[in-house]
Parts: sequence; structure tokens; C-alpha cells
Amino acid sequence: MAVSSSSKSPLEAETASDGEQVRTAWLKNVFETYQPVLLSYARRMTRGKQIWAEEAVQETFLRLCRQSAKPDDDHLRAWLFTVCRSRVIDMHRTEHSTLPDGSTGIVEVAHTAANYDSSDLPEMQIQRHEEQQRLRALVEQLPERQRELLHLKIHGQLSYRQMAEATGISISNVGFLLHQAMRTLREKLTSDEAVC
Amino acid sequence: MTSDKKYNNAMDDPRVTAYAFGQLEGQQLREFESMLSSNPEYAAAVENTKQLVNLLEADAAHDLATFEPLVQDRNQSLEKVMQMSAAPDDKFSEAEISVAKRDGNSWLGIAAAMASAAALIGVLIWNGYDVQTIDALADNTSRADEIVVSDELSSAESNSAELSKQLSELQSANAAIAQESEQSELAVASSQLSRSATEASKSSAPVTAPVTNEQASNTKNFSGQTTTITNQNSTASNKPASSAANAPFEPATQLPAVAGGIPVGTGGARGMGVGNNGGMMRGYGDMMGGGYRSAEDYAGGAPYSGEKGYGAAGGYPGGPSTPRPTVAPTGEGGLPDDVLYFGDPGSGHPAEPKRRFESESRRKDMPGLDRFEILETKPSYYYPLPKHGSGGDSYAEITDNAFQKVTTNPLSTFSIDVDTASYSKMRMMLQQYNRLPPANAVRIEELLNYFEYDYEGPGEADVPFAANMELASCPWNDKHKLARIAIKGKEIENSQRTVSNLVFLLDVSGSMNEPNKLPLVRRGMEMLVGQLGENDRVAIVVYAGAAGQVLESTTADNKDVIFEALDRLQAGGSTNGGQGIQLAYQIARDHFIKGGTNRVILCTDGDFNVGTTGTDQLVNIVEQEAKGGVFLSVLGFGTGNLNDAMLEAISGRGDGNYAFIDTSTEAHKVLVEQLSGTLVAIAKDVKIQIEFNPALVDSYRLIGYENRILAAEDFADDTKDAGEIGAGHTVTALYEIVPAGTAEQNVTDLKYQPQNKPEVKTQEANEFQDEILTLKLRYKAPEGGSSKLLEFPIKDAENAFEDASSDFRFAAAVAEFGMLLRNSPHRGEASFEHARSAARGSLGEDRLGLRAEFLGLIDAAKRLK
Repeated sequence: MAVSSSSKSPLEAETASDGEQVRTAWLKNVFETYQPVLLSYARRMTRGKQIWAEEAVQETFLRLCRQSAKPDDDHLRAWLFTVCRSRVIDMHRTEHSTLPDGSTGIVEVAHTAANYDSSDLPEMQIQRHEEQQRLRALVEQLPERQRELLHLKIHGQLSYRQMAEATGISISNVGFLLHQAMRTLREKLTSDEAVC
Repeated sequence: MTSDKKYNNAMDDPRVTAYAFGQLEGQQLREFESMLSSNPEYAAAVENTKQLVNLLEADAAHDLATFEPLVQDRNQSLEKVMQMSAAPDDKFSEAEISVAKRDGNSWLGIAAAMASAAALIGVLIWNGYDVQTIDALADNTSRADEIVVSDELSSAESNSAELSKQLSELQSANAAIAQESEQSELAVASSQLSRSATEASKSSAPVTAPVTNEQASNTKNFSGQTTTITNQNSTASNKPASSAANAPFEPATQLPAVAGGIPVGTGGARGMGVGNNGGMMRGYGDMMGGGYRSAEDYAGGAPYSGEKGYGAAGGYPGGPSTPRPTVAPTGEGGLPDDVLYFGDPGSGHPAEPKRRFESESRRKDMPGLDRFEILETKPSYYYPLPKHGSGGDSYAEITDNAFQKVTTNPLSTFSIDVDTASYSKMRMMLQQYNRLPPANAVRIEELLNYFEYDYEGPGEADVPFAANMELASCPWNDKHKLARIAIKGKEIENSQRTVSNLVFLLDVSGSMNEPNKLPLVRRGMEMLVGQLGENDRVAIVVYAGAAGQVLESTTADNKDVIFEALDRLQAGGSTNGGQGIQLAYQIARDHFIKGGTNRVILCTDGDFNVGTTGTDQLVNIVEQEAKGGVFLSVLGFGTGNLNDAMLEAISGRGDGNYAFIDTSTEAHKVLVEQLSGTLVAIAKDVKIQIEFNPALVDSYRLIGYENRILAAEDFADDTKDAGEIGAGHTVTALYEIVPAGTAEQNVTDLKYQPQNKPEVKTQEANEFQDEILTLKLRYKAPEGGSSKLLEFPIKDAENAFEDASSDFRFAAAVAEFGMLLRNSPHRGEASFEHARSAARGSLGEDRLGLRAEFLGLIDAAKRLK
């Protein structure tokens, strides 16, 4: 079973075995580490369609397993989010033609904006939650590209450069769009507060 | 980074956002910062934007906190993929291996080749193909070159497109391997290996894979356009990365077997997995730590462990070693102990942020390895601690009671407390999380009162409880004495119990969806219902996003109806505890049983997130209702979210009790063994006042009860609320006493006061001069009315600690332990060793085995200290 050929040093043999285990452990590590962030990102991207989100995340990891050119440290995070994002977009593309949005796979998860519905007693809600609820709604209303970049930034914690690579938008445009998004949110939040 | 265009106002300048996201660097950053200092408009915009970033990140952290892992069947299918391809194959000949291994780089290639075809099958199985299809696919594989890999195909819906997609990815992977090994010889060897590996790859063609470095690492290659690799004609079905790649979700214990099954492997799992998981947990913890719920939930709830089939090496509870939660900086309140995350794995591998697992020289032999250094947990994906978040468990600050001079403070007054939550919580931390509890989570009185003591109860029926006192030398300071004040409530047999009208108020918010939360609530409530009879009533109210009644008040002989309602409970949504509690009280009032037990039993893992959230408001409601005869019991579950301070406050003020349920054993103790105590209040507003005799006592210190201290004048003030005592409950309090004449004078003598020297009082003290203290008790009947007063004096005695009763010695050991956990400034010579030996020698009858368990906790704490 083990390499016993006299020409092989035990160290070398061990090396190979180690490599697999390192790889196994590494994949496991990546999976465990990134599963929560990717899922929450995908959930936001799919506007709460849990099944799509899971599908996308699962595919992302499968793809990682099949990937031999492992992205290096700096790129892993960007890689995962890039793949995951593409999967979600693909799904939207294919699903949209066959199924009306919302007809399938939609599991409203706790804590999406819709969850803070009118059955809560608004007058009793503390400010933090109102704020968060408003914020979520506002993010949902952003233009698609801005919303998407924002999710990549906030959930994915990607740099401008990584976002540019992931989306094919130039870096300065990423900066511009994100700023637009943040500006809109800031303005709307403030004006909402004034109204309240 | 951002556009070079000059902006003249902060509104339009993208640098504001870039700066807030930390994306400016170098010259740009310096320029921007210098402008920032001189331009208030920019400064305000940046401040605003940063706040928004925090808000957004807090929200994202919230997502993480409510994260639900992939559903089981997905996990299983993923796992299947991995296991299929991890199956050992012993067809490899040594010759082939030696060919492959000639090159130092080969480790990856070999591994890749070995599992490749099996991996393909695995992938297909995951996709739902049956075995026949797989056979067919094996044929297809041999004609792989006929399948043109293209975007069109891969996006099509047919099976063959699906196959081609899989294939194309395998090809790309293979190509990458070839590129990586930089030796076509190896690639050939690989494909030979894979040929012999399984039927499926039998006819794979040798590989030529002209992939350049850029191509391999080009992000476009993995940008997720289903299949983008069209620039290769390699057809071998080599799977990229080894059996290991396909077995990432193997239980750790199987790793050695896997390695052994592969010809090139000699070493077993050598702790690498452990280290990795440590690193993983760390990253995880960091992400979660700032969230609304801390990482401990994940491990504690063990959402992935055994049941999902991939208990990881070392990283998870139930694995070979337990993760050690450590303290993380926290969100709200700034109490550093509030949040737990998992630091180093039990294996002892430090989980430093940067961790390389191979030495430089070793890595030279394994060039592939540096690709794996992903373990470095970069701060870039830590979720920042939300500034507004109410992250983690929160505890009220506790400052140990100080010594009081008898001359200036002859009276010590406090409210009784029969809560036990702090003990179970401490136990959970030590046992399940292998971590010392935060000091503020340790309330010594709750530790003391967790245990059963064999105190004598009241003989006659007209007093609801009896007092017990004992005095002996203090084990952690031989100059001091220890006085134990104890009261014991009248026992009421379950059969004698008054009729109960109970409303379960159950938190079913998303965070309750953990094995140690909702299922435990369900079990606990079932146990309780099991104790009830046909005259008792149970209603169930749940609260999450909105509160609702799931079971009307139902007599408890309809157990199946109640159980069914409990079964239907599902976690989901946010918490509106305020609304729920109002509804629960409403129902309790509607079915009020005069002279019976009317009680709301709140089961929650934490906060009342939405609704009547302020502790004060809630306490008001609870207090009002208690006056109306509906009491509250609080049962805390799980961690991460637990607002300990609030739960303590509302149960304390609501004439209720607060227990923390960490295991079903604990549920049994609280809801079965001690049900009468939990349900039936025999007295309320029970206050204790001790008057010390200055002739015998220089100063004293109440151990614990810090948040139960009352002003001396509150003792006789019937409007001041205090704790209730349930049937059979015992309350134990310890005073550390400095005998008169032994203490150094560290309190300034009062110039204008009459000299409170003992001689001044000689006249009056004469009669009682051998009394060291008097215990005064005030209480009300559960129905209310005015308070009654009981007095019990205790005579001074010279009693060695060793000669004290076993209950006394055990209580002292518990207090000693508590002081050590709290790092109390008054702990004197206290030590875990001493506490342990004192407890060891005073186990007594230990009906429930709780004292023996305590010994284990001392050992655990000692290890962790």
C-alpha cells in the first residue's frame, strides 16, 4: 500500500500523502469558512430565494473541488464570490425564461426585509431595527448594478479591484457606482429620518 | 483607483466612499486625508459614509448570525461526490508510482489522477444519474473528444451537455495539472494511472495541455460562465486534485484510511486537518464574533457535526478535540467577555492569524503546497464588529461586595434569589465550550443556590419556611469566619400542588433553530406537561416576527394535543418578545385560577429584539402582572444572544425565577425534580436583613447577591419588591466575617459620631453579647398583603471549618470556586485545589449527582485558568 520502493525515501512518500490531506483539510476549511458568507451573499443576490442561493453555493464549492489551479490566498475570496455571483446570474437568466419570478424556490428567510412586516408593532420597534429594515428596503431599490456591487462589497468584502475583475466593470466605475449607491442610501436614510 | 477627475464637493466625490471602504492608498490616500482635515464638508460625508458602512456590515453580520447551513441532502450529495472518488484503488503498480514520483512536483498530479474517473462518476451521481447512465457516460468519456466543449452546449439542458460541462471542467483541471507539474511526462503518467484506476477513464487519451500560466490563473477561467474552457483539447478525464479533493467532507477519523488506501501514502492524518480546522474555526469565529450571535452557537449547536456527517478534525465538538472558545472583542457595551469565538483548536495548534504549516525547506520539496496557504485568515474577510449591534451574550457588570464596618453599617439587607441560571451557564461554558465563563456571568448566589441542601424545613404549617444558620472558620482566610444563612421553603408534593394555569411563551425566532435551543425547549415543556394533571391548564404562545397563540388554554389531560402543538413549533423570524409577553399575560389572566398557580413560562435564547424592548418597559409589565397574581418564570436556552441581565431583571422583578437550561438533564431538574419549586411560590418579596453585633464583629462581607442588595430602610418597606421562594427551595447566603479585635483599622474614625466602640454599647449588648448576628426575614404570602417578620439570632462559636456540616463545607467550596472564577479581590488564599478537596469531602447524599459533577467543573476551570 505504502510506497516501499527502495528508491523512494519515506519523506517523499509522506509528502504525497500529506499533500492530499492538506488539500482535503484545505477544502474542508474553505467550505466551512466561506459557506456562511457565500450563502448570505447569494441569498441577498437572489432576493431571498433560498434554493437558488444554496444551489449557487453548492455549485461554487463543487467547482472549487474540481479546480486544480487553486486560487492563491489573496484570490480565493474573490474567486468564490465571482463564481457564486456568476452562478446566480446564470440562474436568473435560465430561470426567468421558464418560470415567473417567485413561482418557485422562494423560501423567505428570516431577516430579509420582508420579514419586518406590518405585523410588527411599528411604534414599539426600536430604532436600530427600523433603521436596518429601512436600509434593507433601500438597498433593494438601488439600481441593479449598484445593488450588486454593494452586496459584493459588504458581504464579499472584496476590494474595488476584485469587484472590477468579478463584474467586468472598470475600477473607477466600480468606485463611482458604489459611491452613487452609498450616496443614495445616505440621502434616503437621512430624509426618511427627517420624515419620521 | 477612483477617477482622476477633480470633484469639488463631497457629495459627488467617489473618494469619500472609497475612503470609507479603505480603498484609497498611497498618494491618493495622503491627499485625501490632508483635505479631510481641512474640509468639514468632506469630514462629515466621510463620517456619514462610515456609519452607513457599519450599518450595512452589521446587517450582513446579522445575516451570518442567522445563517442556516446547506440543507442536508445537499450536504449529503456533496459528501457523496467526495466519498465516491475517495475510494481507494489498489490497482496501481509500484512502477507507475515510481514513474509518477520521479518528479518532485508530482504529488499533486498523482493524487489528481487517482481519483479522477471516480470523481467524475461521483459528480454525476450527485447530479442524479443512475448507475446505468454512468456506464453510458463511461462510454461517452471515451469519446470525449467528440464532445465539443462550448458555452452553448454547457448552457443547454440536456444530459450530454451536463456531461460535457463536467468534462470540460475536468479537462481544464487536468490541463492545469499538466501545467502545474510542468512535465508532460507526468501528465502522461497521470493519465495512465487514471486509466487503471477505473473503467470510466479506461480509454482516456493522453494529455497535451498547452495551457499557459495566465490561462490557468486567469480569473476568467473560473468566472462561472458555465464552461469557458475552450482552448484546450485535452481529453483525459483527469480530475484535478486527488482523492483528497474529493473527500473534503470525510470525517477526520477516516482520513488515515483514505491515505492508506492510496499507494503513495504512508502517513496517516498527521494533525494537518486539526490545524486547518483550527484556523477555520478561527476565521469563522471572527466572522461571527461581531454578529448578533457568536460563533459558539455554531459549534455549540453543532449544526454540522455528527448528524450532518462531517464532523471535522478537531475543529468541532464531538471531534477528537474540543475547540477552545476564547474571548473576542465585542460589540455593544464593550465588555470584552461578551462574545465567544473559537480560538486555538484543542490540538494545541495556535490559530495565529498567520499560520504557515510547513517550513520553508520542506515546502521546496512540495512546490504545490504554497498554493494551499489559504489558511492565513486575512482580516479582509473578518466581519467587523458592528457598532450598533447587540452582539453576543450580555451580562450586567458585577462588583464584588466589599467589607462593611459594623460600626458604620450594622445592617446588611438583601433580597433572596433562587435563580440558578448562572450555574448552568457556567457549566455549559466549561463543559461544552471548554472555556472559562466571563466574570460577570458568574453570580455566586446562583452557584450556591443551584445545589440541594439538606436544611430542615418548617415544622408547623403556619410559617412557609425555616431558617438555618451555621458558623465556622473561613477556609480562604484563617483570621475570618464564615457564616451561612439559609432558609428552606416548605416542601409541597407534586400531588399536593395547587392547580396550575400555565402559559408557555416560547421564542421561535430564527436563532432558536439550534439543537440546544428549540428541541430542548420542546423536550423541557413535554417533561413539564408530563407532570401536570387534568385540573391544570396549558396554553402556548410563540413569538417571532409576530406573536401568536398556537395552543389555546387546554387542560393538561389532553397531553397529546399539547405535545402535538409543541411538535409543530418551528423556528423562524425575528423576535417580538414584547408583543408575545402581553399576549401570554392576557391568556393567563383569561384563565386565572384563584388560589392556584398562574404563571407565564418564558423560554428564550435571548433578547426581545423587536417590540417592547427596553428592559425597564418589560420589567414594568412583568411587575404589574405579578401584582395581579400572574408570575413569570424564565428559562434561558443556548448562547450567543442571551441577554442575561434582562432575563434576570424581569424574572427577579416579576416574582419569578430564572433558570438556564443547557441540557435535558437540567430541564429535568428544573421542570420535573423541582417542579413544585418552579411553579408554586410559597412566599414572595422575601427579604433578609442581618444585624451584626459590633461587640463580636468588626466587619463583614456578603458573598454574592450583588444585584440583590437592598437599602436597610427597604427591609420594612412593603412596596419594595423582592424575590419569591418556591416550594422546597433553599436559599443559601454566606457572610465572611472579620471578628472584632482582629482587623487593622482601615476605616477612618468618625470625628463627630458618638464613638461606636463596643464598650459604649455594653449596657444594651449585655443581654445578647454572645450573639454574633441576628437574621431577620420578611416575606409576604403569595397572594400579597402585608409582610410578616421572622427573627433568628445566632450565637458566636469557635468552630473549625473541618467540623462544620457537609452542606456548609460544600457551600463554602462553591463560593470559593465562584470567587476564583470572578477573580474576586477578596478571594484570599482560595484555590481550586482547596475548593476541590473541600467539595470532595462534602458530597453528602448528592441525590442528583450534581455535587460530583461540580468536582469536574473545578478540574475543568483549573485547567483553563
